[in-house]
Amino acid sequence: MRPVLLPVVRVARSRGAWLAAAAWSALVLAAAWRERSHGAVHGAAQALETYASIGVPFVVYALVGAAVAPEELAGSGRPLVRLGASPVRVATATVVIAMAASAALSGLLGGATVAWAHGSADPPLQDDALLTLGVGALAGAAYAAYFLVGSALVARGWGRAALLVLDYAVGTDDGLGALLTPRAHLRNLLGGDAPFDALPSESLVALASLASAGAVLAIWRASRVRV
Amino acid sequence: MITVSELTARAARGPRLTVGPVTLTVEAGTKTALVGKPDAGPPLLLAVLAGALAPRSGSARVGDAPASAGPAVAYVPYDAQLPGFLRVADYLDVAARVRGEPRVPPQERLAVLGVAALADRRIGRLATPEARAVALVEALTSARARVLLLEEPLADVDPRAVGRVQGLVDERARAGVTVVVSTASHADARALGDALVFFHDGKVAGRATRDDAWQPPRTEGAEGPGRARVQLLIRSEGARLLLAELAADPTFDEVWAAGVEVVATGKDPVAMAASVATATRHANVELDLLTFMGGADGET
Repeated sequence: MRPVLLPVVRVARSRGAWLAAAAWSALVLAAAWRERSHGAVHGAAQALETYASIGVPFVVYALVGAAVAPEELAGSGRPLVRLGASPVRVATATVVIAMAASAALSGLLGGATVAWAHGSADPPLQDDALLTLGVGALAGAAYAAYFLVGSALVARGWGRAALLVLDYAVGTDDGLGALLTPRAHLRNLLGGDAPFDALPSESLVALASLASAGAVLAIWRASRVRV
Repeated sequence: MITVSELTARAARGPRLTVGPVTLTVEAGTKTALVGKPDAGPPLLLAVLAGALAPRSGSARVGDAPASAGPAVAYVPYDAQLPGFLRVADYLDVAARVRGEPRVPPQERLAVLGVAALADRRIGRLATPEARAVALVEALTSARARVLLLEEPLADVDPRAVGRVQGLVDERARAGVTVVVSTASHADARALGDALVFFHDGKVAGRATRDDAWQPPRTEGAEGPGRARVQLLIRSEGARLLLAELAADPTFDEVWAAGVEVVATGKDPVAMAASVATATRHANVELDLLTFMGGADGET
């Protein structure tokens, strides 16, 4: 087995994380089913509120938890670093895998939500589903980087938990602080209120920036921690 | 060669344990046991040598480079923290790749310590002694490792493996590998180390060798026997065991042994007597003779 695949195996074999991700996904899909069964004309738009506020954050939170188990980002690479592997490479592999898994699952969940809850007054199904898939994937990556920064800064899961709370506390309003949270930008891109009057294109750039800056910060921080 | 110079360090997590200042040299291809309780310093010093803990002052060098993790250094702390989601065989494969050494079938490596049956088990489902045996297998059978840093390699280890560790450590040392063991057990230290360094309160409290001709251990800062006020002569069949106990006791300035006699120097005869009583009980030996001699005038 190649060492770089270790984070993949770690995530794939984390049964608890997949159960949690499945549960949150089921909650989102249940909301979509409810809209569909009620024949809502804006079914997709309403189901995406649950998707953005609960689905993406908690699905990604579970996946990041699996990627960095059992000791957060720096500790998760300790077995390899202790053998002489480069700390930067080990941390990079973990971050990339966590972000990729989060992007894939968030994107697919978004596309499925739109497809299932699609109403007569929603935008054309194919365009809407593809757009949501892309936005969801970007938001998933941004949330993963956001939580990985928390994981790299504070041990035992407190960092991730603190940023999750901050995302809810600050990201739900439209003030300046909301610009620093994935929640506000995802809401803006899915047709909700804009943070600090940001345009959707600006939120797109902001999510991409959160993802890349968060990844770099998490890798930098994790690679400095001793074995 | 490992060179430690005026090194101090403090544990990064948990109880605020410290070690140092310590100055120490370990020649390449030798076996050294750092002896002391877990809070006395040996595990911390081992962690510094492995690059797992940064020194607060002073320096630690392994060969020509500052101490750090690397493929040539095999570090097995008490809590080895192996990746629990991997099978044992996969872990040994990954470890060989990371160290850059030729792949040897994991069963063969595990068989060296008698634990080949663990190959297909998930590490996270192993009992602690089994996981420790796997970590020892990885370190002791690594073709690339030139320095072995082992914390309590005979404690809490799978019973199938524990009887083979000593022989394998000897074999690796004969092959030129430098071995440094940290242990609280004097018996384990004598089994695994040729040179013994005793720690107390984070500092070196004495040094000795495993051979019968024990060298006088030197307390850091002591100037020699002439500085002591009281000398103590003990005669016992268990002199070597007593030496190991007394050498780690800061009550004594110096302790040395020859044959069945142990000589210790110190300043406080009452504390020295109490320490001898404790050591006698711990080592489970009987005393044939115990004599105090006054320092300057030689009064007995």
